[in-house]
Amino acid sequence: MKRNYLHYITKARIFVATALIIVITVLLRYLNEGFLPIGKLPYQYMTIQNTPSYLLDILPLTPPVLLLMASVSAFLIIILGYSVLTRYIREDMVLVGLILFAMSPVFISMILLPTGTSLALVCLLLAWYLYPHTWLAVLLYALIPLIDFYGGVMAAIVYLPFAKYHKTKKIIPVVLVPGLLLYLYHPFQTFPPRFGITELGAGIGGGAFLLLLVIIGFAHVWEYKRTYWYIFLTLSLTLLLTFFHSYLASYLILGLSIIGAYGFLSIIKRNWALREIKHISLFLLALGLLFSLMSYLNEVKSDPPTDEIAESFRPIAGTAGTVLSDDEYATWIRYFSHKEPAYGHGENTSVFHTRSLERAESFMRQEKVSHVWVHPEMLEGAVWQAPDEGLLFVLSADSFEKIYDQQIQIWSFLAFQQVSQGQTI
Amino acid sequence: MNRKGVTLVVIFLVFLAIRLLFAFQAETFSDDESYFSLRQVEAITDSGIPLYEDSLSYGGRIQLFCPLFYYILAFFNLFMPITLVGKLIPNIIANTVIFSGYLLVHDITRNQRLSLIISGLVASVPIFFSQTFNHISSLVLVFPLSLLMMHAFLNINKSKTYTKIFIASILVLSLTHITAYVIIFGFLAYLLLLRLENLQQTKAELEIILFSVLFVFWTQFIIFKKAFLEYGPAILLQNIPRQVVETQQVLVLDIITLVGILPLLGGMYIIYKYSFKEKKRPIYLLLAFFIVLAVFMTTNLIPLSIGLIFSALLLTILFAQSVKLSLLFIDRSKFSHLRGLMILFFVLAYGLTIFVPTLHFSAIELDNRLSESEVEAMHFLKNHTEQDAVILTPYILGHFVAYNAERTTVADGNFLLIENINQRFEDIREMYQTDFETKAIELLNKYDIDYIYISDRVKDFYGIRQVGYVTDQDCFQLVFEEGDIQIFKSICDLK
Repeated sequence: MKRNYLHYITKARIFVATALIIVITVLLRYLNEGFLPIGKLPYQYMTIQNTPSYLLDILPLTPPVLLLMASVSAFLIIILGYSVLTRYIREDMVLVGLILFAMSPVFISMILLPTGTSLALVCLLLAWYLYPHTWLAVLLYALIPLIDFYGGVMAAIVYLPFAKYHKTKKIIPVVLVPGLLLYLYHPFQTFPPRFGITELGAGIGGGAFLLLLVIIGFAHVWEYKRTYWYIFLTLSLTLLLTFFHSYLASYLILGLSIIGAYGFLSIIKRNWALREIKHISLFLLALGLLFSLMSYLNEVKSDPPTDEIAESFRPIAGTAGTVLSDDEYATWIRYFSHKEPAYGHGENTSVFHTRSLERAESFMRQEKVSHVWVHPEMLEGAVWQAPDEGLLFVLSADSFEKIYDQQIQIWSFLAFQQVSQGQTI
Repeated sequence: MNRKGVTLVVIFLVFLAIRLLFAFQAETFSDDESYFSLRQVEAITDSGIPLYEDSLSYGGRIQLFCPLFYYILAFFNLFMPITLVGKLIPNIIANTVIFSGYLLVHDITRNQRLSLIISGLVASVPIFFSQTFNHISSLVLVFPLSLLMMHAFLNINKSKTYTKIFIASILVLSLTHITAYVIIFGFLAYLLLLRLENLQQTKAELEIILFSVLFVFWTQFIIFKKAFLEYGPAILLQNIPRQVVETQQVLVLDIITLVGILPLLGGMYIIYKYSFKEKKRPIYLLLAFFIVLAVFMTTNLIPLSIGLIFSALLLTILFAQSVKLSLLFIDRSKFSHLRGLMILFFVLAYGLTIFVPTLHFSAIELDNRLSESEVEAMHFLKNHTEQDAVILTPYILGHFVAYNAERTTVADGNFLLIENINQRFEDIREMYQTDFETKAIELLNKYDIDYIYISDRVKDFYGIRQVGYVTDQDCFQLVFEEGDIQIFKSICDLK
């Protein structure tokens, strides 16, 4: 009997597999670093720093709530994705596409790095799902830019294939304009991870084996480029935007997973001349996809901020003054210590490398530095190369006292402490 | 066994005898990598696993490499002494290029007698012979296997046996050496060439290439996961330091002698002929590999020595077709009665341009072997220095020190995952070349170096007459001197 494995891929199994991936991901993170989301954007939401999400900035969020929100969003994307995509594409292809998406590294990052972008994707899919009820769909559409600026831009872009398919001339994306305009008064900044192939060190993106399937898929669908030009155009625009704002990788990889599914099905359904290697090839492919997933999960399960970082701020949380550290840690300093980071307008770097006590103290008085927070990575090349280099040498002076000495070290600037206790410097 | 088989075995035995004759003239090996191999084999024999966590290399690091070749040697080490294993097994494996060369030449020329002659020539390519007879390197397995894989690929439609041979070959190759990716790019280039020439690839060809891509990607991602994450696509550059790349330049004259003028001219002629005039699939396959190697060598994506050996083997195989065409031409010309004379001329010309350079380069390699005084110095380091002592040598002696002296080194020929490698190599050069004692001590302190190893080999490597600052007896004690070798203990710290 001809085996093609497709009967194993059912709707229920895909949903269960997705749920398992989500649970395992959250559990692994919890066991390693607690319920702390990775990256900086979630902590920007929680400290109400201007982010691309107007709505998340004003909501009272906590790390576990964010993780829960991201997990539910990820699951909803799969369910809604199935409901919406099966209207346009063959069910087997949608199912394979969705499991490829769920097994891709970007899906893991959607769970552990909660952003408005994936919440906006849920809203977009829900709007499409409710489409015949136009007013509800339009309402959801209008909500998207409030959830995420880039989600709003994407909603406008993906409307093109939608309108072409449904032959509708209603310009629904107009409802996005007020939401997008809001960001003129709500300027934002993001620190997205590097987009690319995760096995090659990218912080967010797809796996190498998915890419391989996408290439095979494209080789097959390329002949339809004239008929479905708008899909190719939408994907190209999404790819372009993703390079600027890597959180959009979730939109891109979802689209590419469907193309990858085409590649996967073409391998399965192909009449192989060498039957003996068909099964090994499919096995290798499955292992490769699994390898991408496991390898990424293994990397991000202990990504910063770690439990150790959170714990180190406990002794200084809520005290007066600022914290001097590498700019890289500014967002986490603000969230965990409830203090402002002292990253001194370009002068910071020179302070790290000065061996002059006078100069260092002058900077610290000016910036109201109460503590110096040093992560091991700063000692291993991120800031300093040698153990007594620059400010590290200065810290051994009597003006400083080491108050935290684990892998992370914290020095208290005694002169500031005296001032805050009413004495003069 | 038929007559052809017997002849092939005789050719194999003759060349093996020549190889062993050369190899056993030296007790030591001709390159540093051999000692890395010996360390791995011993580690596998002792514990069952290779030294992935190496405390001696670069002051302690994680090694990334494909382990299969070392397991093969470790198997023989169970019932043979390690030096015998190191001399015998790599030579036997390298010499199997005769069989795979024969098969591939036969695929191209369909001429048994010519295939037999060329198979012997393949084994005697100067750069291949001289770089493999006294070396323990996993590359000796890569070359015959790659040719065997090409043979299986060309015959993939004929029988299931070829599919099995191909699968087995790619399995072994992926677990043997990082350069397995060259094979993948070679096959992809072959597909591209077929497209450009409007030739249709067969279903089986496409499927086996897809399988190879999947398998090699998969194994390489697993073995070199850390390096992939660290370097991204730049892993192909293998973190080879700038200073090493700069020394890899080879003159055209060297290429002619290392490859052999006849295979070079004959091979190039075939490339020209089949690129522009005629279409022949087997030649396109070799041409695709040749193009990939040329691109990789010029962009430093493959070490020059590996690329040159591979190219030389391919050119020699392509050369077979030019010999066939030449003989056909003679047969059709008015000089057909001089055929025997022409063959004699060809054999003499080949002898002069191939066997003479082979003997010459092999003699050079034998001269390059590590001398008895160098081994003696290693015994001194092993027996008279602290167990955690760090020894300064150029990278070309790193594995040699680690194996023989069992002491920590500052650098060796495995560059993957070493941070700031260019700076480190620059510092090592500076430690040997500088005249300023304070600079030298600063760098010696930076790498916690306890002993400085100086020999003629080191001086030649850095182009120096002597290391100037070691004359200060307050900071540097001469602890060993024999022949051209001196070992100084560094005793000063820079405050």
